Order: sequence, then C-alpha cells, then structure tokens
Amino acid sequence: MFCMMSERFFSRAAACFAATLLVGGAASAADFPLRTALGADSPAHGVGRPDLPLLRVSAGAGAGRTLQALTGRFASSPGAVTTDGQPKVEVRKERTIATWADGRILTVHGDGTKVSFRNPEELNGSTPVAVAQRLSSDRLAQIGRQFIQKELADFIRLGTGEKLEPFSTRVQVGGGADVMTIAPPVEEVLSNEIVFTRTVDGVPVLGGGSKVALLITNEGRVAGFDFDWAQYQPTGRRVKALAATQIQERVRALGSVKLDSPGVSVKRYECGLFDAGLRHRDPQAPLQGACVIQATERRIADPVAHLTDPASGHVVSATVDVIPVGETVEPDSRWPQAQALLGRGGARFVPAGPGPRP
Amino acid sequence: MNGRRYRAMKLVAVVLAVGSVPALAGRFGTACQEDYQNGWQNTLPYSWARCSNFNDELDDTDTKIWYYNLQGGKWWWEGSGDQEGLETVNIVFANTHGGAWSSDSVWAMWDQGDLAESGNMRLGNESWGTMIFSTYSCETLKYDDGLMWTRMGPIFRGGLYISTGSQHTVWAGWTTDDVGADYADNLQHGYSIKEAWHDGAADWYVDNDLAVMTTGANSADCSNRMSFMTWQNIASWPRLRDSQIGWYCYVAWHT
Repeated sequence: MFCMMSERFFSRAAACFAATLLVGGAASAADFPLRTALGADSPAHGVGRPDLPLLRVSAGAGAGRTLQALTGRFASSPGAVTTDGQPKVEVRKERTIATWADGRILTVHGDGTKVSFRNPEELNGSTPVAVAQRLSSDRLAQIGRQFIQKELADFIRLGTGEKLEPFSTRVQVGGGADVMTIAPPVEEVLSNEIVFTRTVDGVPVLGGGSKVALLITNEGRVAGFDFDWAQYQPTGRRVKALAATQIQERVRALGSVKLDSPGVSVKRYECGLFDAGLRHRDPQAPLQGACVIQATERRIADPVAHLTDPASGHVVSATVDVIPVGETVEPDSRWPQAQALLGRGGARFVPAGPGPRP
Repeated sequence: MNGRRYRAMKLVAVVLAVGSVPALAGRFGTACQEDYQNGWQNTLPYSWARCSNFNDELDDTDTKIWYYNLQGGKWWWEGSGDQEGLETVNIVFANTHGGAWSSDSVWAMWDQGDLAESGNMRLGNESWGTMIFSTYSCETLKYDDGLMWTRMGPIFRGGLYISTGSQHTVWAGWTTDDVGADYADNLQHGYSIKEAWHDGAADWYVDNDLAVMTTGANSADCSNRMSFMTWQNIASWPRLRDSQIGWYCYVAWHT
C-alpha cells in the first residue's frame, strides 16, 4: 500500500502507515516498530532531535584479513553457514571471493566491512510452507539476533550509545500454474529474510550502511548473511537539524519528483543518520543526517487504453532521494544532493548514455 | 521443495550441466534510457551508470554485442524487428520505466507515446535467440492478479528461458546504481540466474520488489529450471516453445 501525497499528508502520515500494517497480507514483508515509528514520525518531525552528531567512519581490517577471520570462524560450523572444505579464492581490486564446489560463496568487499555469504543448497532445500505457516517476524528477530551475537560478534561491533535493532523482514514466495488455466497460482513461502540496523543514541542509521541481513530457511536455519558494518567514531562535532517544514522545502528543491503532483505516492519518508554503505560513501566524509524518500509516480502513457480499462495505460516510475537535513551540510563527494547544496560538483563518475540503434 | 526432492533435482541439473553442450559463449546486449522525449516520462536517475556498470562487468568474460538507448527502440523490441535487436544476444539487460496492464507488460521507449508491449513480443525463436530477458523496470513481472501468463506468455512462447524483473517496484537513485554490475558479477560466478538477480538487485535498505519467471514442461521441470539454471549451463537446457510449455512459475521477494 502506498500513501497518496496531499497537502494533508504530513498530518495523515501516522494513520496511513498504521493502515499499511493492518492491510498487509500474511506473505507480505513487515516493518519492526523502529521502522514503523520512523514512517509515522519523520514527515512531521524530521529527525526528531535538535541536532545530530557527525560521525567518522573507521576503515576495516582489509578484505584478506576479514576473509581469513570468517573462514576460520565458520570452518567447523555444523550449521548452514559453514566454510568447511577448500575454496577457490579470487582476489580482485574491489573484492575477494571464495567459492566452494557445492555453490557456497563468500565475498568480502573493499576494506572488509562489507561481506556476503550464501549457501544455495541450503536455501534451495528450504521446505516451502503455506503463507499462514511462515515464521513470524518475532521468531526471525530472535533467530537473527542470536546468530549475530553468537556467530558474527567479531564483525558486528557496537560502540558507546549504539544498538542493534530489527528493522524489517522480507519474504521469498513462489508459485506456478498450468499455462492452460487462468486461476491465480497457489503461493508458498520459500524462505525468509530479516534486516537489522544500528541506532546511535536512539537515532536509526538509514541507507545501505549499518545493516546486517540474514537469509533464513523455513526450518529456521540461517543459510546466508550480508553485512555492511563499519565502526563509527565521534568527531566531537554536532550539526543542528532543520525543522520538518524546512526539510520539506529542501525535498521540494532537490527531489526527483514533486511529492504533491497528481499520481505521486510516497512509500517511505524516513529521517535519521545516513550511511550509504561501503561502496557508495565518500570515505573522507563524516556521517550526517538525512531524510530518505521513496516515491512512485503512476503516469498515464496511453489515455485510450486507460479509458477502456483503468488497470491499463499506465507506466510506473520510482525514485529514491537522499536529502541532507543539517543546517550546515558537510561535503561528501559521492552524495549528489549534499554537493548540490554546497554548490559543488561531485566525484561520482556519471557515464554518458549510448546512442540509438543505427 | 523438501531435501530429497531438492537432491533429485540437483542430480538432474548436474547431469544437464556436464552434458555434451558446451558452456555458453555469452553474447549480451544492453538497452537503457535515462531521459525521455519532451519529458513524457520521468527521468530515470543513474540509468546510464546502472547499464554501463553491467557492461563493464560482464565484458570481462563475455561479449558485448550492443549497447543502445531506446530512441526508436520499439521496432527492435517487437515483432520481426527483434531479429535485428533483442534476439541477436543471449542475455538482454534493460533499464527503463515499466507497467503491468491487464493484457500486456509494457516498457517505456524514449519516443513520446512509444511502449514496447509484451503482446507484440516473442523472444527465443530468431537469430541467436534471447535466453535471458532482464529488465530493471517496475511491475512487468506482476503476478498477483493471476494475469502473469497472459502478459508474459507471448514473450516466452518463442523459447525464452527466463525473465528477471519486478512484480511491483524497483527504485532508481544514486544508491542503486550498482544493480547492473552486481547482477553481472553474480552471473559470472555461477549463481543461479534467480539468485544472481535477487542478490544483485536487492538492497537491504531500499525496497526493491524483485521477481523471476520461467517455464517448464511441467511443475517439476519449471521448479528445476528456476533453481538451477545458470549463465554457464543455460544452453544445456532444452528450449521450450509454444505447446512444449506446460507450466510457468515465479519467485518473488516482498519488501
């Protein structure tokens, strides 16, 4: 469900996001209270704090050392996350990849703070279950937290004032049907995913950084994980946060779409600290506050088709914008909106488009 | 799928993979659009990055045959024109806006008012024969209205093996400009095509609703193809066309 944008959006936001939770089907993903509250509070209150800290991101131990630590940690693990056996290791500039003959793959990116592991045999072997029998969000959170604390504690470290919080769940479903029938397929749940984020003094970290995701079979076995988790250090500096109305002005100025245009729907409007993650952040820039807005626009591309059938004639576009919310903005060469506010270009390489087919 | 069934299917997959058909000599084409004529569609941020990153990655192991924008694209996506366009490669990666109508999935071209419509498309039966059709576009693999086969069947009836896309929404911005590169990297490393798409295009913060669709002679065949087809072994699976297709199946990730 999307929440239609209108002049009353910000006062309706809480009710709208609550409604989202109520109408979500059993096979739908779910948000944990932290994220639900973000959706309800951010449009009206911004980051909800008078100011936010600027945080410095520490470099990791390196891809090689992290790979060694992980393969050592899981070498004799009886679980589905195991590095038992001899992998083939490929060292590339941006990442180091270990692969096993049975399809397991462990990828360590950059400085070792971003890691991915998959055990496809285990994931494919997950027994499908009826939608009503899927693992609950609370159970996934319990399994996930236990795994992180027991198995990934050396890699998911928390600093002073930081907490690990469940953020959202996702669900993999599958179905199929005889091509001669027109009945909708019966859908089953194939596997589950849970995402954790970090909070710093209660402020959630948005973006791809500060995330741990676990892939969990229907039997409750963790069969894959991703993390993008650097350690943060205080800079001793704080930046005043804009009020919600001032943030809205920035969103209007810098956003990809006008949120009050007809056909535009806002799926998420979330404010907090922002960490783009290892591959998208400027390593020299501090973490700072932002609101992240996901909005779609349903535009009628074929009015005749739409007139005949309201379910036809449209095209959907979906954009995600990251808007800095500090009164002052720190330079970040990888963050286009931050650079735009400072009147600067960025270091982000944007290739030119190709030509048409001759 | 229980463990025993999985192991039986894996055995079939391994036999297929080591059969006499050589590993695919991959030919790929990339079709993308970032801006649209007279702004008839919203700008699609970082589409050029998404696509050129896909090219740069897959180019390491396979052969880029073409990389075009979508100006005048409708003719080489649809009908017999595709034998000079989409059908000249084994895998197509595209990034543009999309939609699911009652009878068609549609992809926006650059030209004002032009849409490639699935009802006019048939892939896999001409030229090199497209095997994988991957589009980072909203809705085009929508299934929850029971009309997935109505929309995508015309494309698959030509013998297309598998399509990857979205059942709902995929998001464009600077934080999702690595989707193409990651997908290509996963294909190169032997992930199943399904998992290559999921892992490559998913984002643990942004809500990308991803879906993959394939066909089979029957339910088990469809499930088998979904789980085990890779970029490396895809050519060893028999192509299914028209009446050879008995079943369609999908997986999707809800965010």
